[in-house]
Amino acid sequence: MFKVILGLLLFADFARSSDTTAIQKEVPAYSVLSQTSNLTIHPDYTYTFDIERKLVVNSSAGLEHATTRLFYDKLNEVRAFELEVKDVFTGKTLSKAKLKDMADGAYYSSSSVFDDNRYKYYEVTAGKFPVEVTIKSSVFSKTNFFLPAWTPVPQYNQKVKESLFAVNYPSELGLKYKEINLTGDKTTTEANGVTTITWTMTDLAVQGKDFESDDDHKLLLAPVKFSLDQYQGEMTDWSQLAAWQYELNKGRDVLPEDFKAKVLQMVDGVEEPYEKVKILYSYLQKNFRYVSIQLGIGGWQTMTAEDVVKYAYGDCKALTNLMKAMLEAVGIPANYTLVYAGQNADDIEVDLPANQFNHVILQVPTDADPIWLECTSNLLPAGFLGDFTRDRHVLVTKEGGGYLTKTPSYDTEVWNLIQSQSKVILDPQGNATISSKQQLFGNFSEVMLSVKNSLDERQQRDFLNRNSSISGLIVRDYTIDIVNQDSLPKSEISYEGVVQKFSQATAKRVVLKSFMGKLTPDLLANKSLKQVDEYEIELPEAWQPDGNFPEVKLNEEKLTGLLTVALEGRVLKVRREISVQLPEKLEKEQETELLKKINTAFDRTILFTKPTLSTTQIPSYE
Amino acid sequence: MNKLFLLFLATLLPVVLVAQTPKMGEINQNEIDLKSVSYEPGAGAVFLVAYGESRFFSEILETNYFNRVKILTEAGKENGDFRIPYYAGSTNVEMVSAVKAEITNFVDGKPVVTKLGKENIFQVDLGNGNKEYRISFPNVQVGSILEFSYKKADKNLNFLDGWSFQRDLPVLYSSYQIIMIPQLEYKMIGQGENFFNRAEKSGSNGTYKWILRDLYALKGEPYMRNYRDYVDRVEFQLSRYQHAATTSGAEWTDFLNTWEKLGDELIEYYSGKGFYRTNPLEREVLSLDLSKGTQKEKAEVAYYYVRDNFVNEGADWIYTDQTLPQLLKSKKGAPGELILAYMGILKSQGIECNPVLIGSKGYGRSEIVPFPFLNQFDEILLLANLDGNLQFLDLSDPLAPFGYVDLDKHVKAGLFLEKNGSKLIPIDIRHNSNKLTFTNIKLDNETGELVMDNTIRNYYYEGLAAAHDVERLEEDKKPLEEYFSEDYGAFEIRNVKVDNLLEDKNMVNISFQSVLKNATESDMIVFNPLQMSEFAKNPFTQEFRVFPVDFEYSFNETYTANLQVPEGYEIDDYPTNESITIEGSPISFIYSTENLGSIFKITAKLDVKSPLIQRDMYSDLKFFMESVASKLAAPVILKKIAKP
Repeated sequence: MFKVILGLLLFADFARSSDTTAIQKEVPAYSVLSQTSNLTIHPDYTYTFDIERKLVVNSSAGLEHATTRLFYDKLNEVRAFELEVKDVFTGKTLSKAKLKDMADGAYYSSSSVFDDNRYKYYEVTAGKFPVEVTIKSSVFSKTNFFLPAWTPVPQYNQKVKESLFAVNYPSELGLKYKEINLTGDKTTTEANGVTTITWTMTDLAVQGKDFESDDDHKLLLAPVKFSLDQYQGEMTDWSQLAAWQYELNKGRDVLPEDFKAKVLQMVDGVEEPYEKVKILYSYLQKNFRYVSIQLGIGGWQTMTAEDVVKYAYGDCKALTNLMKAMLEAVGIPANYTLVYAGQNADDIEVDLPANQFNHVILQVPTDADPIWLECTSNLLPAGFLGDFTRDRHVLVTKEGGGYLTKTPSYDTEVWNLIQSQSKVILDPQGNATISSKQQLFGNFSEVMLSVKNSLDERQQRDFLNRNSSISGLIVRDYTIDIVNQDSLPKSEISYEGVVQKFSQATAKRVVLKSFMGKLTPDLLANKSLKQVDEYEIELPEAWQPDGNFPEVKLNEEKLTGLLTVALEGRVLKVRREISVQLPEKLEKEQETELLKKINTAFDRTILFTKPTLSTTQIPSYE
Repeated sequence: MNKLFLLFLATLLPVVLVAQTPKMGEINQNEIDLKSVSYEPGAGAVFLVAYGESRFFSEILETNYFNRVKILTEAGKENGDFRIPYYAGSTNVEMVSAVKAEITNFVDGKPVVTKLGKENIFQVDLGNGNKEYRISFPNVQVGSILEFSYKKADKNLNFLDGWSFQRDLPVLYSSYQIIMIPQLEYKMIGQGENFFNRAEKSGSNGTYKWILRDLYALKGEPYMRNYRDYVDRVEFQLSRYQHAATTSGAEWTDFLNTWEKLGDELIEYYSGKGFYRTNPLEREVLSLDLSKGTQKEKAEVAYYYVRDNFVNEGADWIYTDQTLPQLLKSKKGAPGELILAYMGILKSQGIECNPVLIGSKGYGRSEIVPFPFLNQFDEILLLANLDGNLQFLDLSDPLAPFGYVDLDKHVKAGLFLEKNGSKLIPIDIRHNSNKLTFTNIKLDNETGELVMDNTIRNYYYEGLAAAHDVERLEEDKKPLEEYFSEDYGAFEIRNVKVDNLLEDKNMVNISFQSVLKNATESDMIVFNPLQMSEFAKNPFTQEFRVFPVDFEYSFNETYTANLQVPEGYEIDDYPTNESITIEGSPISFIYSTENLGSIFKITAKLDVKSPLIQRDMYSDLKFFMESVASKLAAPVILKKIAKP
């Protein structure tokens, strides 16, 4: 009966709020949650995680809040699940479910060829609202290497009345945690060698889809002492975690003798360490391919180098481990390095030494800056990291220890340079032939690596057509050459083509609208840009300049720009030069304003008079 | 009937017929020498051979698959993993076995063959009866030839998968052979321009074979949402089977031999699920007053009741997961279930109303198959007689007003279901999904801003699409200004307002201002008066097309801009008039200007009369659209009048 009354009260509360005009602007709550989570770490490094959720689902939109999805694999087991749906008003049970009723699925990754990641799931249905859903689940893990995090507000549009998270662990094993925006109560007790910490948060604000994830409440946990499949270690600091990772892969970097001999032969007579790295990395890229097979001690231990040599494929761990072994065979030490990869991934929490990683790269120390190798890429030059791993903290692992460091950010002009030189011959109708050369450096060349290698000719032509600042370009002949300068990616693009309507005819004039393209956020993604475009445009005889040619000069701190236009005989010479360096922190609105400002400044039209009224011919069948 | 059929088949002996089939390891010199695909240069890898051969064994159809792939470029090495999906269900409806694979590399010109073992071939249970083999080839290099073969046993003999000739890579040789047995008679269903125009076909003694060569890789193209409807395919539907052989000859049982029979089976299926019962629905809609008004008005009230009181969730499908009572209890259902429930409500009001099965766009067919064959249908519509007028009705879209039918259901024909009277009927849903843009342009002397007050009227399905875009923004709590993609240019979008009048007037009005700041600073204002067309940039930049261009429906976009010539300024220059089209006039464009003294008027109209433009017209269309884009981006020039 109590439950029914509670449900009624909760519903009444919700109904009242949605009727109040003033509160209607608030984010609506599709469900109301009370949750208790109990994480118990056992002395043998295993843990049990029990969750009891009680939800009052107010509308069909809240049903997905009651969906349960429980991950399992060789290390994790779903032990219990119970669910009951009740009518809030009558207290009558509408449906029940147990573990056997859960559906089962594999995480279907398009990139992974094989893994053992699966999940059990259950979706609640209801025909009328509100309903009260009680869900109890228990999972067991054979390792405390990965510990669950607590997010007190798990869903958008969910009102959390109360969320309690308790962790019980043998004091002797230790536990570390990081509280992010936690505002509730915390209590700590210890009895019989077991420490219990309990966090409670109540009456939390409903979050809408626009909620800033940085403002979310979160508790991150990490063990001090841990074990993963008999490999014990400590995570008191980053160095210990690194040492443990090193031990996990120890002995798996032995190269077959004939392969080792081949490796030595490849660098025979080469003195310069970078050259050796380049030769071996290039060999790896040409002869081994990335295949995601996420098996082996929770996906954390590498395949042996011998197996990788045998199959000529491997995942990030396997290819990195092999490259490390190859370099060490020629006397170049290298470090297996853990990273949290992702194009727009947040950096790790540097003050919580823990397993926060999902990828592996290789660091080759030198007297100056280290050489970084992304061993899963068969395109990047040796020493250059793509946007998947650049500019973030990584854990370098070495025997007996390791350290946290940062990968390069490539945010200076040398890594963000675009140059182009184009010659255009215009006919009296405004159509043109064009020959153009472009040089892309650093980050801008990264895109061209995949254009050059992954697209067929039709797609490459289309890429050039679509990405040209000149509308109506039809590329006929082209070349794309990758001419990296050591670790600096460089591409040279050269094309010849025609441009339909390079200029536009108006009643009195010929108009050359700005044809060098606008700056977009993509071009400033790496905080720095230098772009120099030069055009020589051969004009038809009869065209005469109408008024002065535009001229633009921008000279501000961290922003310079220049546009010059000059007529030499029949050749119009146009040069645009832009150099931008963005501050470390720049809000999106500020960036948009800056882009608009630059684009507005350079959006200049060049006018010519015509000897007669429009002579433009367009084929017409009407 | 199925039981009889299976028992009978179990007594059959396999038909043995010697046929030439490609074999693993038998790589010819041309294949070894091949460096690139002549018609698709730059392709990373190519199917040298994609071959399938089906024959009947007892109560199953066994198909042997063989594939030979060559890696042509470094990037092509990523094609070294293959997946073989199949549906086993709970009774092994499909079984894959004998998965074999080998890779041939050429070392110093000599072939080195590596056979794949279990460590390179994985079996994965994807859940819900779906399974998959995954093959990861070792030592994949440029020049490697990858071969794999497997057998698939299929217990479903009613409908045979047949063969799709294209792959995601180009295919040099794609062939399928089926050895029929006299006791089973199938209807063949062919599809695709290549299949009909250039397939090499042979058939004798029950063995049928099709070969297609030099096929493009399947890749998406702009303005072709449903390219899978154009894939070259051959499939088979069982039409009759021999159930006994007597001295007087074979006795045959028709399997799906009439539309009436097919329709009756579906009606029986829906009846079994309760969807032809009206009592529960009468109770369901007790709160609605359906006693007054015309049939159309009643149908409209009932439509909004179902649309707004049931959650529309799940795949649109002709079969239903739930019974009617379950649907009424859960208040959540797939579109097909909601449509059938809606039918029940209309029937309970005495409105004549029946389901129509259709093969939706993207389901794999561009034309209806003109014989009774159920697998070509995947979604349902309703055809109702409202006050003597026939109207198609749908419930796929929670935002759609009464009378709107999901665009994927705008197909040429469907199967009208009526007891003892089911038949194919044409579907012709007409609508004027046009777009009208009005712009008033004036200079605000106080602020120095050039202000363009715009109103876009999006009609019918254009309006519905706009309503969805707006809903997404609202759900994501984003400002309405983001309805227009930021172009980081001189104009600023302000004061966006959306007026959804779809239910009353079949339109969604979007009004906004685009403003050029500091416009008065220079002597000339050069600007584009027609800023909001998606055709201001030519969408057709590809060299050639593999599939036709599909604008989905006929429509027009009309732009009218009235420029109030500001005091102290004159119209100095403006774009010239233009009227263009392409051969046959499937699409046309006109642009004109008119000087009315204080008002300068610019109008433009793009008219798509025939929405499907075949690929042989592509280069003309591309040229045409570039001309349109250029004109829609052309400037008007206002000039300060020089003071004497």
